[in-house]
Amino acid sequence: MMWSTATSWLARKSGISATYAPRSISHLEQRLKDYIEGSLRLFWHRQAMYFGAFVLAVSYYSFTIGLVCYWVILLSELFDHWVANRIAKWSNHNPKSARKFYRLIAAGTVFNSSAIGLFVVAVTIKEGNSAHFTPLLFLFAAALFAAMNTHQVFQVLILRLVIFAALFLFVATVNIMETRPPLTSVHWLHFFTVIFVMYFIVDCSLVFLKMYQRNLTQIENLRQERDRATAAYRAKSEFLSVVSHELRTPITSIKGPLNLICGGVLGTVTDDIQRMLLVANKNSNRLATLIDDLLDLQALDAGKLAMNFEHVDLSTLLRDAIEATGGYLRDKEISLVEVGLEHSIIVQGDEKRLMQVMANVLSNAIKFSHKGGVVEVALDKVDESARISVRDCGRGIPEGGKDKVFEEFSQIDSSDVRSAGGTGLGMSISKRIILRHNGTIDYESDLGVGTVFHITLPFSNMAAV
Amino acid sequence: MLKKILHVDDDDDIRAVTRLALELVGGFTVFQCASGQEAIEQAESFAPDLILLDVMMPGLDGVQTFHRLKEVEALASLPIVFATAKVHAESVQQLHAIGAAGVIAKPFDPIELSNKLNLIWEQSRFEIS
Repeated sequence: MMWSTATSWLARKSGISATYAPRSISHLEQRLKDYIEGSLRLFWHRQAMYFGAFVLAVSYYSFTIGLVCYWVILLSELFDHWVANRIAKWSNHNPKSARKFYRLIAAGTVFNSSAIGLFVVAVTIKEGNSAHFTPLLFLFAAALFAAMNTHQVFQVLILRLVIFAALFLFVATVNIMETRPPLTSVHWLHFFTVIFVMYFIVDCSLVFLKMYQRNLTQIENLRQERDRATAAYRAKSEFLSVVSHELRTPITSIKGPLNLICGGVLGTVTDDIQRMLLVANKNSNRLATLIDDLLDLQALDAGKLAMNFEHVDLSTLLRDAIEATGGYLRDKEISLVEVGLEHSIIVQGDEKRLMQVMANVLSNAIKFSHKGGVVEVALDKVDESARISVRDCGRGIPEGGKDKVFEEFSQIDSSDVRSAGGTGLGMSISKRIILRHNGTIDYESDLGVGTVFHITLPFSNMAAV
Repeated sequence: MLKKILHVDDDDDIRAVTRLALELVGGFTVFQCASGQEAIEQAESFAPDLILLDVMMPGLDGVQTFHRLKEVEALASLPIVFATAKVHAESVQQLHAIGAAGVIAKPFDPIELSNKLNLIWEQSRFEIS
């Protein structure tokens, strides 16, 4: 009780958090896991240091002191290792277990610090009346090591430093107690130096601890931010999905009657009525396409758009796509030039989705070409890929438009949406579909001359057949 | 030949459009229900050749209605076609997996609807024989 009150007070004074019940169990767990992670990682590091100390003790002091202290330290290391392994396997997130592990780590710390203390005290006594250069530096090294590597659990660090402080004071005062020298003697100088070094070590520990705590907070903030972003993304997807589905029902009721009337099923209407109904019909189709595009985009974003990969002959696909735009070509009196479509080039892909991309790229080329212009569709092989090129004779895309072309709801000039039609989603969807094929889609454009879109589809996908 | 169709949809407007489409374009005899429950109660007495069933309906939804209809012995082998606004490949596959004879995506073209239902009906007869 006193211990936790004292450490809490110290923590408050130092501006750090050291409560036994941090904001969440995951936070507490994180500290314990980080602590033992460091402990396990530096296991052999520590063994090398202990062995070095053992060799020095045996060579310069006494074989017995060296051996006994070494064995006690190894025992404490074994205990620590056992605790660390238990914590590493711990996964029930139970606060009770966390407190148990805290106590085990504290016990291990007392054991290990006392073992080091045994060594320091034995060497100090063996040295008799001297400056105790070796035990003091050993203690300094041990304290600095603790400050650097075991600061994750505040209480444990303080426990260790308190034991080390007691040892420092013992070593520094043992000569003073025995010889009672005047304040001007070198023994007192050593004593004050030890106090200074102790202050330095505490200061170091606090710096490391604050750094660690800042990291923990940052990680926690990042985690929260990620959770928020994920939730927002999910909400957006769900919203889009619900809205899209809810829109489909009324559109069925709008398109249905229009189709029936325009199709002449319900008898003839005057030309003016027919013309107006065709406008309404065209726009309800546009709305239906927009909903389809929104759903596709959402599915692509969520990685849920199912792709059915099979062998696709690109020359057949392109010819089919050209044929499907026939009416549109005739409306705009555009002549279409085919280059290299006589040879079949086979890739691995989803035929329906590739058709969707081609329909989109082709209709864009026709849409942005001037009346009576030429659109060229070419197919060839470049390196290890098939390349489709669609050249239009439109007004071109201004420099810096690249992001906009493939962005959602974007046409270079927003008035295009009205003058040229389209939802502004086609290119964005096309790009995602091509990326799912490990391909690329890009363009080159000359203002006032036209634009050529290149799509490449790698043959390496064939390996997946 | 496909003659009698039972159409189940909670939306009045869609029922009106579908009735016109199926009667005028396809020349079918159409019987309509506004809920799954009503369909279960009346399907047997109407004895349709095919059922066109909406998926999203309040109360019993399309899938629940489908299973209840299939439990009726006289209707067990009847082709049931879903009409759905959920056109995700996944959702469509699920409907096929439970035994739907076909899936019509909303919005549908009422002029083509009769043709599509005819095709599905013939296909299901072929599968049965």
